[in-house]
Amino acid sequence: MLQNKQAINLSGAPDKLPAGKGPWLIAGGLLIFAISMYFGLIYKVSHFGP
Amino acid sequence: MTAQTATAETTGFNWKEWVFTTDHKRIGVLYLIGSMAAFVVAGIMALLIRIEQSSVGPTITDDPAQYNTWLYFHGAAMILAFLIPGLTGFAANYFLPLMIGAKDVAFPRINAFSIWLFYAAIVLALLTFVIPDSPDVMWTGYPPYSVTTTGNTAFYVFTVHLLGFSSILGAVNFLITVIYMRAPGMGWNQLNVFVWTTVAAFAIQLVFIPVLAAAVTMLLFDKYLGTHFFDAAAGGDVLLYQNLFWFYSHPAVYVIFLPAVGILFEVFASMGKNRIFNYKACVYGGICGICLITGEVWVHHLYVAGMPDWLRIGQMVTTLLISVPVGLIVLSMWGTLWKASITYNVAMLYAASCLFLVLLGGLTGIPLALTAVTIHLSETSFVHAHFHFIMALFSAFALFAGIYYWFPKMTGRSADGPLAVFGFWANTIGVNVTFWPLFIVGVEGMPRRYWDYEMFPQFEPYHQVATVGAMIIAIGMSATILNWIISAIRGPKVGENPWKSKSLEWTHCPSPPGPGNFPEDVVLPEGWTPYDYDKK
Repeated sequence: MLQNKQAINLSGAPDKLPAGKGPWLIAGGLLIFAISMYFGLIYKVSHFGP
Repeated sequence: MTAQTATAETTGFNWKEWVFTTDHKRIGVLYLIGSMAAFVVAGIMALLIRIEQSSVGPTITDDPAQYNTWLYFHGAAMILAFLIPGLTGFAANYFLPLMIGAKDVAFPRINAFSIWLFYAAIVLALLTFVIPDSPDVMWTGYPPYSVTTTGNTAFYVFTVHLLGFSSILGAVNFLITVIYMRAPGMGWNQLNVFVWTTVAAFAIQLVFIPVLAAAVTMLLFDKYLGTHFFDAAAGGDVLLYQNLFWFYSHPAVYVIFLPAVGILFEVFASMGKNRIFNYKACVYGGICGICLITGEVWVHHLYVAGMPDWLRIGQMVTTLLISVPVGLIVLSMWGTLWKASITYNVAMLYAASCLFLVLLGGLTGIPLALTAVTIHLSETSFVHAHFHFIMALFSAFALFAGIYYWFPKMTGRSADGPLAVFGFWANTIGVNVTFWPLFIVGVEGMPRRYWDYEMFPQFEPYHQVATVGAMIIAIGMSATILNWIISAIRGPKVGENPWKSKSLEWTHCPSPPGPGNFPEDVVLPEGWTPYDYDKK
């Protein structure tokens, strides 16, 4: 049954996330980069023109 | 062996375990099921397209819009819902953590969220068959047609959004996983080539997907909110969409190509019992090289769209330049097979056939990169046949090689057998019978995407041969998928490492791996590599 509970909840998940803030900072930074690309491009294109 | 690291044998099927799972292996299997479902439906569309083309005039439909819907679903589903999720979803999810000695990915819940975004996209895509005014914008969604059509372009846009968001979350997750969760002592030069190629593919996804997402969002605004981003008559720029679309979609070719290449290296090394030839040149020159210049080659899709010559010439150079890193990779593949003691099982048959497919697809890509030649070949069936060989067939065959290679890892059983061999040969013969005639009629001027070709009746026999080829593929794929299902249930049981591979997923965890993957913490001996075979 333990296996089943693990499969539902955190099956196979690491005992803890990698130590420190590094992974969170990098992951957050990458997501912010992607979101900025998305909105930044739409903003930039909407201001194209002569 | 503790309960946490037991094998995956459970006390029966429990759907909640699958719906709410955060286990990277189960998520990988869900990606495989979803992507193969998309492959089957998109394959049926391909068959309908080929049957329609088998005679001049209407064959099975007299409605060109219906034909456009088939083309839309075939292209969009094969690329966005089969190849990319099959390679970066299934293969990366299941095997990348195993290869680096990790118990799971860095963010398992976000991984679970990614798979359900993917399934939401699949449902949305399938709904196109039941809604009135299905999308009919190919997989490209070019304006002005996609803005003026009565087809429901919003379904196309939202499908791209869902898949894109899923891919971005996956990219962040896997990059962090490889950076932070490698087994102690595993350096960057000790990673499997498949890990490198997957990292490269995810890096490309992360940078370029927002561009596509922004482009289709602006398309949505133009169609439904009355903006004029791509409306030349109102001061917009219709070519801007094509530039943005291909700025993502050419790198997307490498998102598919790179993990496929990674799978081939794993198969070649294991079946040939050889180290990777020129590992560092392959990784840093080939894989990283593609990453660096992938954003400089999109314009060759627009050579005939109207642009200054200086830009065309420049982009011709960068397009040809990318053959250098690709060449390094292909050289490493051949070198890895040099003087190898090759075991020709079904995985190796598919992998070996990829060498032919990449050669054919690569060589036919050279004339398309040359501005003077491509003006003649652009928008003809030649292009159609070329990209099927280099992207679709090469990558699909590599994925099939990977499925056969890792089948014993996933199920504890072998999928090799007469039905598998029959499927391989039917697929191999079928793809060549289908696409060689399209090269020929393409050079003669057969346009792509046409519902009918009344003006070129002389091409009818070629189309008929291609349709026979498509039917052979349908038989081959039916045998292949049937074989996988039968083998998963009652295939012969094999040991934990039937290929005698040196890679971590084979040497350190049971088949199939249970929660936690590894019975014990992975400790790597000094100088370990995943290709630690005796030097020839």
